[in-house]
Amino acid sequence: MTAMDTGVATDIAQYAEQVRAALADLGPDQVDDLTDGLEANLADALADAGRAPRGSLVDEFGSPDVYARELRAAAGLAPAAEQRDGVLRAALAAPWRAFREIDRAALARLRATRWFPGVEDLLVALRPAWWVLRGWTIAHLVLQVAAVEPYPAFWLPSTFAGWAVLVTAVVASAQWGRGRWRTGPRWHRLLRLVSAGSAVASVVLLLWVPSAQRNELASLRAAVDAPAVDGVVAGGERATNLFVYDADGEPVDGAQIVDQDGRPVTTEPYGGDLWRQQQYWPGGSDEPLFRTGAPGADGVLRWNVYPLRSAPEGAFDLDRYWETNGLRLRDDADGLLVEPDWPFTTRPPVAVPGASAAAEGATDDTGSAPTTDGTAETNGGPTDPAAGVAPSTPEPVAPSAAG
Amino acid sequence: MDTTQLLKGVLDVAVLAVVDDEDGYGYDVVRRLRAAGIDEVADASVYGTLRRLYAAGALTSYVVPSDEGPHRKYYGINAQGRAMLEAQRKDWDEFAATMTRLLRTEEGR
Repeated sequence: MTAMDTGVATDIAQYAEQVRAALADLGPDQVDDLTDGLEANLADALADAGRAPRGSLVDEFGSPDVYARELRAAAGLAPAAEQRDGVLRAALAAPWRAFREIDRAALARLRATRWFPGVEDLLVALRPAWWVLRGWTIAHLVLQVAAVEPYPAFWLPSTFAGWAVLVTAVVASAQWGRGRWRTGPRWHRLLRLVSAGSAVASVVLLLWVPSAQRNELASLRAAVDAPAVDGVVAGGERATNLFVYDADGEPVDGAQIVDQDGRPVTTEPYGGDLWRQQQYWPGGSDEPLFRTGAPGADGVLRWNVYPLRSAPEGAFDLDRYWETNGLRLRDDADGLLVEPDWPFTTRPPVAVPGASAAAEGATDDTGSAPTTDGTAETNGGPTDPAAGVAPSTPEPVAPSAAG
Repeated sequence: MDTTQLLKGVLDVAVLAVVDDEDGYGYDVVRRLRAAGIDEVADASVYGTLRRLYAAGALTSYVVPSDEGPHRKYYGINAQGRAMLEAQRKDWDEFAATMTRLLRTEEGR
């Protein structure tokens, strides 16, 4: 069977359905009785070489309504009762009929042109592709509405249920398209409505599915490409504070921590920027607390000095913050500072491997002292004293509430 | 003259005559009517007439399965149909003779 034959079979099936729909008021038994063998008769008439083909079935046999009227009249049955369904239906039906008439006239005019018959042949040959697309569209709508498939939709389903729905929908769509499934006039009308709806939905889906996938891919790439934020991760969570114990297991207050390149290690990625810094609401407090670093020689807070203290917003010198763009504690902030809770008073002592040799080999780490903006001076390297802005001895650090 | 209107009155007898000649299915009957020169009849009118004659008991019907495509419903004439055909043939002959006489007279004036 060629595509053209399939197309004709579909046309015949549709025409026959429309005739049945026009007879629907007679009741199903009588409709069946009257239209038994209708498809065969239509096909024979079209295939009859003695008749000059005039184009569509409507050109050949008249509109399905007229055909049904003749069938009914010749069979001695009462003509269809005029629309009893009231004003609304009549008002809707009239423009619909007018539209169908215009549609038919436009089609006739197109068919008279030289190029259209070729295009129509091509479109008819492509009809199976539309059946598949229609099934795919309905399956996707069902799967998305029922939330069987994850959002956003991919071209093909990922679950067994998804595949089952997709295959069922495509087979149903194709079988209906081929005219293999005959339905009552009511169902037929509903299915035509569904078909028209899925034509619109298929366009939306074809535009949406790839763009949704592209968006998801782009956001994934952005997340992967985004530079890592400063911080310390322990046990899979971000540490919010660090506590240093020496080799004897005694707590070390005011320990300055840097990495192998001398960069300050901080648990506050936005330290010094109160508007982005993390707020804490410890139990019972009526205002949020912020972690605070330790002031350096210039009073500007350093954020790699542990353990960090906490302080309410009032403890920070906001006036000078605007002027100098460096966050400082107010002079009278000491009473507002909240001491950190050390997780252990002491730790078991440890032996430092090769401790004596390491102490002798250590360089005076002055070049890599953090600059006021908190970033390490790395271009000169730790052994280049000229690059350092800090004094030659380690910067004195005074956690205000330490004593 | 609009022969479609004329045909409506005599389609029954025309269909009976065709089926009396040999059993036939829907489009087969249409084709044989056309071959006989009645080509202004709509297909649907013939199918409807077949149904009505069958419902009136003038025709028998049986289904013949087809290898390619759907089955075909054949119609054959029965005794009642033959009687109907005979009566209508007589009526037609009389009517046609009357009309012929009438029209010839009209022409002769």
